[in-house]
Amino acid sequence: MLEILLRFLLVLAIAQIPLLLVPLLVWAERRVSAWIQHRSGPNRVGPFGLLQPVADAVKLLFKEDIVPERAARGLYVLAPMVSLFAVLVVWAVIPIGDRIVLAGHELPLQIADVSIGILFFLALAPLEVVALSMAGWGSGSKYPLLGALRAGAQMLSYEVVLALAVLAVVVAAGSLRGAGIVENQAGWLWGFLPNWNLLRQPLTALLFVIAMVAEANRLPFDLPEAEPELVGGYHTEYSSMKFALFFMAEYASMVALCGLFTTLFLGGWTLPWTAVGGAAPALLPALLGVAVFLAKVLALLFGFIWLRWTLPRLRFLDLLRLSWRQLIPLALVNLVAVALLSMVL
Amino acid sequence: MIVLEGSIPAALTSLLSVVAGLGAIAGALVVVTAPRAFRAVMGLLITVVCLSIEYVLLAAPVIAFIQILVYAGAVVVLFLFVVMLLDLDGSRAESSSRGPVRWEWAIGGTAAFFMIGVCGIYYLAKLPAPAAPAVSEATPDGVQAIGVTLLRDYLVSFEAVAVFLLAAAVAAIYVAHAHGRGEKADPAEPDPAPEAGAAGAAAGKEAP
Amino acid sequence: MSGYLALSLALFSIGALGVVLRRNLLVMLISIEVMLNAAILALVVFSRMYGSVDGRVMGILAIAVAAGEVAVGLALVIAFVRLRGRPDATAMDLLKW
Repeated sequence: MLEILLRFLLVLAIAQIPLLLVPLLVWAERRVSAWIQHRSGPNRVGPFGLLQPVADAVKLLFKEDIVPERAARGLYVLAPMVSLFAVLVVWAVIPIGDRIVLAGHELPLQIADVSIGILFFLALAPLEVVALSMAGWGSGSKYPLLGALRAGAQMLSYEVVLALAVLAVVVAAGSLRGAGIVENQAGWLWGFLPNWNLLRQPLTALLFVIAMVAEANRLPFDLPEAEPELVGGYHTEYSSMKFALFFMAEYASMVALCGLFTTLFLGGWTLPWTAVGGAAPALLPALLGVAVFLAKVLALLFGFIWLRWTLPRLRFLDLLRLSWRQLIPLALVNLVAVALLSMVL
Repeated sequence: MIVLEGSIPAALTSLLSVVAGLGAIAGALVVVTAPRAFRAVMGLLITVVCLSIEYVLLAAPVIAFIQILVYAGAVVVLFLFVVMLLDLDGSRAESSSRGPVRWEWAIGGTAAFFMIGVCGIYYLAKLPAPAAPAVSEATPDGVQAIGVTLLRDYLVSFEAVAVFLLAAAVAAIYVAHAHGRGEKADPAEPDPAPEAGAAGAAAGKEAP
Repeated sequence: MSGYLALSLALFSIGALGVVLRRNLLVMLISIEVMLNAAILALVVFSRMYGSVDGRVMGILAIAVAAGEVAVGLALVIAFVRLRGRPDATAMDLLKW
């Protein structure tokens, strides 16, 4: 009984990670972009403008909730929910720390340590495309439809790259479990470098990063909602909390992808050269491990924002060409090379 | 599969399986009776998701997630693309003789098929019951067993499927391409499915 | 277990009805998908019943084949719509005299 209660609390705690990081990320995006452009950014609400996302949320809550006349009501209402669901549920298989022992019960710091964790993520990512298509079609209007078509083509194309990159890591690690892949990255490379997949498979990591940015619909790949061309893309017709759900889903997908990148390439909760995240199921190192994991995710998120204000947007045809003509063949060759190498070594 | 599996009461899982089964049937009925193609695609999505719940309950999570990956991720999206791009909905869709199926037809016909099948199942039930050592994929060995079986006993089929997928991708692009009409076919449109299918098939083998 | 088989049977019947009764090529294709799903469910159920992995492996192969089938089928639908302007099976009458 106590174990079930503990697990329940753990699920609640892990579910808070994306929900807390999303407002923080919205704030950070505005502050960092202001910093990059030599502006002040939001600084009125709360210290350093930290309460700005709360104010935004309150504002959105009080906006009028509009359903367009020509909308397909069911699809229109369901789309934002499916979208947020697909990105939040990914956290079920991302390990945020090693196992801890609490009141005599061993507890892995992960919601569900399933034997096919990575496959779970790969299966859920495309649901986002379905959600966007539902929004685009359900709105019954031109620009959302165009945005949804673009989103579908883009995300499907880069989904393949993402899957092939993940498969290369899985082949090398010999495990589909998130925790198994983290444990596989323990130890040292050439005696002094951490044995991270980032250093062992730099090409795979690069492919994953490119696919990840495209998957999150961020600049330079934010074609689905390119505001100079498409007004707002698939969520043009949305208002109030439904819009807020889409907005949250977009940022939550960034957070989830960063969590996955940390797991796959950055050694998860471990910190090299220290005992943090060691094998011992002691409480303090494990909690420090969670902090390390979060720090890695935050650093990656900063990279996302940095990228946004550094690179210009691609043309849509170039985007698809990049994926189908260059990245996918490269990812295939990479996968075969990794498979051969891990067979030899 | 699920960490808490042991502590979930059996009544709950059987209730869930009944609900998912009814959901799958409802989705299929939506497919058959939907007046518009988009709604039919949504019906297929419901069926696919409900069936993958059933697979998890049948202790086959690998196939459950491959099902979602390929069907929800590739097949449904491909259908949505065609519906959205060609504008197959509305008045032009089913203009001629017969409209969408009427409910009484659907129910009556299904009942007829069903009765025949129930006789089959009854016959099947009279066969000697198989000794069932329940393998489960809950253990990591389950994934491994699938990988080993796929690449050892079914290697020829596996390779044949690979060749088939390549042929299908080429054929799809060739057929869907507008030949000499000055129309430009969408380059990204026909091919995601076989690629994702290959990824799904490849995901199945990743258990060295 | 026979409950699962009944579900598979019901899905297959509904799908078959869809193929027979509907005239929209796209909906017919979707109905075929429903039938395929029913078959895969049966494979998984038998694999569970007999405690062997083979059924699941065949299910995975069947899913891969289904993906290819959809790609080709949709390409044919697109080509047909280009030819006739609507995805209607009754418009396939070039060989009917």
